[in-house]
Amino acid sequence: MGELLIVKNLKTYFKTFKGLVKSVDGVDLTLDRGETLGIVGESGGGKSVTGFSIIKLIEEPGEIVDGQIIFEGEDLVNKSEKQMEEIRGKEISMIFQDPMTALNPILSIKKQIDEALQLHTNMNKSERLHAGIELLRSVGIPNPEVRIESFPHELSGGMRQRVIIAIAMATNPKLIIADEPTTALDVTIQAQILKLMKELVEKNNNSLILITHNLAVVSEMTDKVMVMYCGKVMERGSTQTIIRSSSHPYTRGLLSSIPRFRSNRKRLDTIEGIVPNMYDLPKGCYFAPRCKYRKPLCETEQPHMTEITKDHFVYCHFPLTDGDNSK
Amino acid sequence: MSKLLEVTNLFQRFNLTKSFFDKYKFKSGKIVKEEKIVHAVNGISFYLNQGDVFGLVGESGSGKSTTARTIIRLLEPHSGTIMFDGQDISRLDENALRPIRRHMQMIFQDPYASLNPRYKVIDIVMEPLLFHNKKLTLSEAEKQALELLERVGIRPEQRDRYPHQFSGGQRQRIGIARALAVKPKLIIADEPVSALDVSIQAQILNLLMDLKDEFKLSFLIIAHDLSVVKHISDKIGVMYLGKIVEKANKEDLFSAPLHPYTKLLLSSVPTIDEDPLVEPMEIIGEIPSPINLPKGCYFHERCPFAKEICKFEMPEEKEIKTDHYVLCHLY
Repeated sequence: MGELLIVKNLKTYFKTFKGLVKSVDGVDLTLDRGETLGIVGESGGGKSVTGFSIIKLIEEPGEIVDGQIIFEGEDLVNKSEKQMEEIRGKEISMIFQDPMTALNPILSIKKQIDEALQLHTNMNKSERLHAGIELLRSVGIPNPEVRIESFPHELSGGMRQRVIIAIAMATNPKLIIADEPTTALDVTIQAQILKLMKELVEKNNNSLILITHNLAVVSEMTDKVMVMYCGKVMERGSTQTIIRSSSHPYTRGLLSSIPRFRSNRKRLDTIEGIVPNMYDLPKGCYFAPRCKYRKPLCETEQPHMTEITKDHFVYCHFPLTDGDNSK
Repeated sequence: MSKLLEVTNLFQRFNLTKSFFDKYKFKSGKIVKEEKIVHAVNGISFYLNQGDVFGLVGESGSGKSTTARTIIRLLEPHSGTIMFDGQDISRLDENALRPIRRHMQMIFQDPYASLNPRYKVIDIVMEPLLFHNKKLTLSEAEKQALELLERVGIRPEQRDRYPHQFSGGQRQRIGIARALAVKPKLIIADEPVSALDVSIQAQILNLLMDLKDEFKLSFLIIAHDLSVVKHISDKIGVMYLGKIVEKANKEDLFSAPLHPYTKLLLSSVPTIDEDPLVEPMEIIGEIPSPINLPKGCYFHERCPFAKEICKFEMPEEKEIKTDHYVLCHLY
């Protein structure tokens, strides 16, 4: 398996009237063919902007100011908008959070699938219709011959998200970026959609970047995890490592704030305080003000990314190394 | 312990075809009468003791929010009774409700929409104080409001800020302070943490539990997230299409869930635990429309254990063991 995507020192900044917002500030990641990566963090962590930056869907006042996005050996940062249009939807597809707004409300499902196929394949009209029906069948839409004629408002949220997945999969892209694909859905529907995505990605050997705030979703879905906070990667490594033996206090905080079925604690562990203002970030480590392990050094100096075991990187002056933290 | 709230056989319906032209449609040369009624709540009963936390869980469209809104009488019930503090409030009019509302407050889901954007936070908390106690002077109300804000974690120097200057978690704290202002007996919280980040969710849940003991509150918590409800509830009711399909003490419900839908919900929640609480289940289909309710048991179309009788007959509620009720033909 070769590397499909290498992101090096990616910086996406937004220049606003109130000041500069460093939404993504030096992100590195690698993704092999067929590999799945979860990006987790709270609102404002920069996880969605990272996803949008990879397909260069950053609009004014945002800008990719530095870094490389090497996809199949070519740097996307240098590509023109026209060249990106060839790649988007064909090589890299995106699945958005809100299935209610991601589809065009005045076009039938048939038309919307057809559009993707028309742009990126050489199929003729009847082949495209046939392919569209097969796509809907593959995402588990009952009666696809009839349903393909429906409009988005005639479908439930779960069904719409299936249609969006079908459109994203239409050209069998090498990479799929899914931004909170199940957050707007009910828990039983979420379970259905996650299972479907996992099966499809495995079957077609697509790579997947799953952006979510839910560590539990990531733990069931992806090979690797990257935890983001205020535009910086706090920790990355294999899912097993991050869930069972994370070393960053922020990751631990996130894990212990998840209510668990098996525990009988009356109170939940929390991370004190709130996410800092992006216009006025702390001088040292961004997480220091909320960190219960902070030392004077943390408040004055930013840490460096260190590899503590193979492929397990931590952005912390004093990584926690006392083993199992999943209890 | 006395019953603070008792809901008996509550029904709630919404008629979508109120006007003449909605009701009568011209179809193939004839005038046809068509009525569309949303059966949101279809006969639910439960009670809440003083000091208890009752959690109502279910997916979108299960009628849990409508139940909450009907209990607090933002809506008139279709039928059934709501006993609050020994008084039937199901048929009272607005004037008669006013003194009762003081004892029942609501915390809403969306902290962005539930605070008036043109009010300063101090005014948001003072408003209910002044409304429910006409004798209170302005300075006394201000003092009480500041104490409340401080109690929920808003600093006194933030008193003159507007809602947009606060984060989602802080706004929810302000909403809680407003609900507490009139010293209610019961707080109905409709998805109080679902709009918040995980680390903030935990803070708010802990705050609610601390306040419960401090202010001797009872809670009715509405949520779609079973793990949230598990942490704070004493009793739990699982709703599906306007029915409570299972209700029990928290321990019983999680250690021995009975209804297939409860098991389905439990198996759907993503988890970082290595051994799941229930066996993974195949999930069939989606929640049906409350306009055309299925015949028989409302869940039979999605139920992996459905028998012949489930297609025709709605099961009766059975008490399997003390205080553990289930609505299913399997038991």
